[in-house]
Amino acid sequence: MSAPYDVIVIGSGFGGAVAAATLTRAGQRVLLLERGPWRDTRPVRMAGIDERSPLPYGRHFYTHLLHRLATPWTPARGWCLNRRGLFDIHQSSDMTLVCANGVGGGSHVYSAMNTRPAQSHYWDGHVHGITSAAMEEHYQWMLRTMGARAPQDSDAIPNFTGSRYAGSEHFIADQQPAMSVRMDKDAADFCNNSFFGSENGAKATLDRILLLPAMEQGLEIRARHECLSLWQQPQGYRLEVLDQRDNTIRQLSAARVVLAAGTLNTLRLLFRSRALGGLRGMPALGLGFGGNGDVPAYWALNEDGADFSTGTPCHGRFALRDPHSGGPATLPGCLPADLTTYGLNGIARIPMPAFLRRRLQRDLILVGMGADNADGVAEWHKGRLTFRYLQGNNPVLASVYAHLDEVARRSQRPVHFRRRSPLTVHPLGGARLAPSSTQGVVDARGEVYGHRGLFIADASALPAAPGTPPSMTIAAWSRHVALGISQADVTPARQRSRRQQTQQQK
Amino acid sequence: MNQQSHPDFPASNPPAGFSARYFFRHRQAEMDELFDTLSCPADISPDGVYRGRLFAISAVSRLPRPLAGLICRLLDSFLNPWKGKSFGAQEGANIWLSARGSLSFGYYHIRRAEDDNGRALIRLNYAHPRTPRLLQPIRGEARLLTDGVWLARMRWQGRHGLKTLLYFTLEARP
Repeated sequence: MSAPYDVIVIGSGFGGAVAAATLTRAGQRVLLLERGPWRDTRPVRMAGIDERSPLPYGRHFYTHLLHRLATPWTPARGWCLNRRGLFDIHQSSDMTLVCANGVGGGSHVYSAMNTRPAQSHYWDGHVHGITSAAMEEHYQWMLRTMGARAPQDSDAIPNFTGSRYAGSEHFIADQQPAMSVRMDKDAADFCNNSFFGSENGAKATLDRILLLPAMEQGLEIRARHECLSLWQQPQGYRLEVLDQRDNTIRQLSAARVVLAAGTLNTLRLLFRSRALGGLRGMPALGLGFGGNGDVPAYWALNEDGADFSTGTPCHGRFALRDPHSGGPATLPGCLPADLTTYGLNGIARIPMPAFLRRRLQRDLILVGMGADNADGVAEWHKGRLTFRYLQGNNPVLASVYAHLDEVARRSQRPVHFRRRSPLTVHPLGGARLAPSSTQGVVDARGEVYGHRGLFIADASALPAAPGTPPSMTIAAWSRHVALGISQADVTPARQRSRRQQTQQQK
Repeated sequence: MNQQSHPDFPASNPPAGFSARYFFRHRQAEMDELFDTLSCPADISPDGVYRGRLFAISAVSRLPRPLAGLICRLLDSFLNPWKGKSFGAQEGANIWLSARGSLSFGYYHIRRAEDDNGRALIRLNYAHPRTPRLLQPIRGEARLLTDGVWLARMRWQGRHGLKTLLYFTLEARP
């Protein structure tokens, strides 16, 4: 079996897209495998990608919303509802995880916030050779690449939090994050651009920003190809891949593999491959799992005349106002919590009774977040992936709950959220960065201990919870990993290719 | 010959979570592609009694995957009297009814060989004096899948060449 690629990247979200684009730019022959389809957005149409799947808008909402649903009562892999669906929901006894499916991964459904970790020294002290100062260049690169900037009052963005709480005695606008969304005062850019994707390309998604340009430089992308298992071989790795287009399983091989399928699917792939015997060791696989302290809530504001469904994908950050100083406040005895509001963006294009839509447009989604201890455990038993996560070990969750309760008290409107079992859209860890194989799965280069040529470049490798939306942190880690691979360019295939090129030049 | 330690396949027992059921829904063409990617390390040979599990059977493999998987699960139950194979130095036999290998039928010669592309495999030749003449055109081929697990296929030597009938795994008994 020939190995025509230097590197195979699995996944196309913030980990996979950044890794694939960086490696392609460095001259590597890269194949990217993505289980989901290309999404039918204006940039993808204009790029001439023929096989596209719609975002869940209009009549496609009920058919294309869910890809896979897994609960403790479904078969181990869950029920696949629609291979072209947008979201995966994985319910475990201690936590429910939500992730996205499609070329561009989570960038279709993210809030367009580009944030650094809550702690400025996030990367320090985990392993030798990685520091927050050294990682800063990757954050800067990502900000530039995504074209992100903080919104201003002068941008005239509907429902912008930065303006909304100017005269409020209860709340105050916090420092607003850089957002990667067009802010040209075009009303069409300020709707239908959040959780269900951005059809007109107003929100910067990775398919448009990184993958389509990288394809012009030689990146090969195979959408609707799901990697089922990895097998270590003397000369690299064999990948068993399901081509969903004709429902056929194929074998691919490469000297190097970058695993970036998102925490849920990367862990599933690692556990399954180890159970089958394709991979070995990894004694710390599953340790260090967390939900980034996510607490999504529904704020039933029911504000007369309001339409919160327009604006940027998230309206922005806010905080409780200290009645004495007038500045932002953290509740006494609580840890700091990051509070962000969202409208039910996209609801205008979801088929439903008009009275219900009008009602929902007057309410807000509220997301509280904080750096949890990421001390949960992912486990694999008879093909089923489960997560153990003790809320009692993570006081930040109680702090977020207290802040949400205080928001409800001050606004005199109910805030509904799940207290018993957290729901996260930012699962992380489980294959974490650590100084040894007994504490984690990957080393400072992102390479799996004991598995030369196998790298992990998504949130599963993060050593701790950022406590803010982690997309930039994942991208920074992925770029660090990809640059490390391209600098250690020693694959035999590549050496041969270079020798041939040299001979041809002579 | 013993199944020895090998740098790429260091253990002689199957991984704790290994289950051949993973392959029950695979089609024969997919298994052909997988088999072609496997190797047969020179210093490892099957030795002793191995539990066998059938899948990717010619006719069954054309059925929808769920149905093919169901049939393979039935064949993996007590309904199937074939339990696996035993391997000696030069010859071996299929074992029936009990996985301990007390009842043997269908003997074969064992030798290292190469496929059409010159890649190593272990060939089981049923042209053995203790095998009924009717079964003597059977040829088995095996390569190492992972620690303690061999992937093998049963082929029929006809007038027009070899035809693959089915695949099976052979798992070393811990």
